[in-house]
Amino acid sequence: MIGTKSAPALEPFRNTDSKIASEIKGLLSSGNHEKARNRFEEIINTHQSRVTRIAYYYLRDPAEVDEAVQDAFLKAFVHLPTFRDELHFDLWLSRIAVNGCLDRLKAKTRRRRWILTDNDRIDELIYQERTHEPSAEQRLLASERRDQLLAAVERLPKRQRSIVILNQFEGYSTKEVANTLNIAEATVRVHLFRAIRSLRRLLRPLESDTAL
Amino acid sequence: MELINDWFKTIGHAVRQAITGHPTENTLIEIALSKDNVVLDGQGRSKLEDAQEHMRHCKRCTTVFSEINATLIDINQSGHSTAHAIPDSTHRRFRQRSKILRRIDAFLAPPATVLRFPSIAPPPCIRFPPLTACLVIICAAGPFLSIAVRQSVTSSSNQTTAVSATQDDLESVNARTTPTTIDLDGLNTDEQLMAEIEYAVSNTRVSPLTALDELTPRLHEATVTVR
Repeated sequence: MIGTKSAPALEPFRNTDSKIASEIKGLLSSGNHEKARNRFEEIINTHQSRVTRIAYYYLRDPAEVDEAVQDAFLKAFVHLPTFRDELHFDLWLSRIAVNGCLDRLKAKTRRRRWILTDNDRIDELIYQERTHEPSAEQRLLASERRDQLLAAVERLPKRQRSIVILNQFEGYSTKEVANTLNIAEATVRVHLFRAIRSLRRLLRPLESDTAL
Repeated sequence: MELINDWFKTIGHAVRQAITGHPTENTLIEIALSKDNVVLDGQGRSKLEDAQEHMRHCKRCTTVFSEINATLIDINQSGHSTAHAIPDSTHRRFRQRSKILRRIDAFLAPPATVLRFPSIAPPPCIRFPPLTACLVIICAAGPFLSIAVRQSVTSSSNQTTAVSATQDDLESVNARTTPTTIDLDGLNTDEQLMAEIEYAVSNTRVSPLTALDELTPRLHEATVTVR
């Protein structure tokens, strides 16, 4: 139904990565840890930006994003012996990253339920200041719009949010999203439609404001 | 709750579509999402083609469709701009990578050896030569041995005296009941007297006082005689 488009930037790396992952798996099982580690460095170089991006969509806090990325790569290395060769390595890694980010969000929500310090707000403001670029008005408006949209995405249910991030932001096809999140493709589509509908509803007042 | 709401909405849209003939919002979203890479199966294709055909004549659906498109474009653009807004300098990436590798190294490192908690060493055992050790043991056990030996000796002598005492007691009783003249010649010898005293003192069954009472007049007589 929906196109099985795939993130074009990922295609050339897919086979190579899976091959490297299988190689590392072999090296680890044969006890050649030093070589396995060096090979894994290549994988880190390839996927670091993408994993950072995914983590950022979820967490939006540089320090936490940094930790989430580290955790995701370490977890991937530790669990590499369980990696199934028929899977794409990047989807597997994305799944690890997404699950890690969701866990962090859950923990954060639990923390905030009890403690809401002023530091959180200050950090958020500092970060917003840093990421905003108020030099050009248009860029400022764009960044405001982006923040609004990200805030709207943040309000989506967990699964819908993951699907929007992977499908719309990262350019994964619905099939790839289904593989990453370990759910049926039809479910991905249903959630995607719902997510887009919800986003439209959430952004509608803003659209009318900007139209005025 | 949200799931139930979604279901009701979907059903509502389908009912509305059936009544009004407008395609559902989901169908329009599907068209918007699939317009770049259309991979449709038979039924889906015909459904979307019908919806597209409907949109050509329906202003309302065209408006909704353009709104959906705008939202999708917005989402895509925001995604891209967010990706650019991420502080991702080379230095930062390098630092992050080295942290990851350090953690991997820590994981691959052999497990650390667990040091024993320092315990207080017991004092060294002083070793004596065997002869000294025997001497010490004998010295230590000496008092106990002597007590034990004395006990056994005392008990055995008691048994023998008890047996003889029964006969002597009978004699003394007879002597008391039938007062006879004491053979002074027999008491002349000091040894005999001392032996009788000793016997009387050492015998537990025959009261020493009774024996002394028996002997005292004879002793008195004896001393008088001697004088």
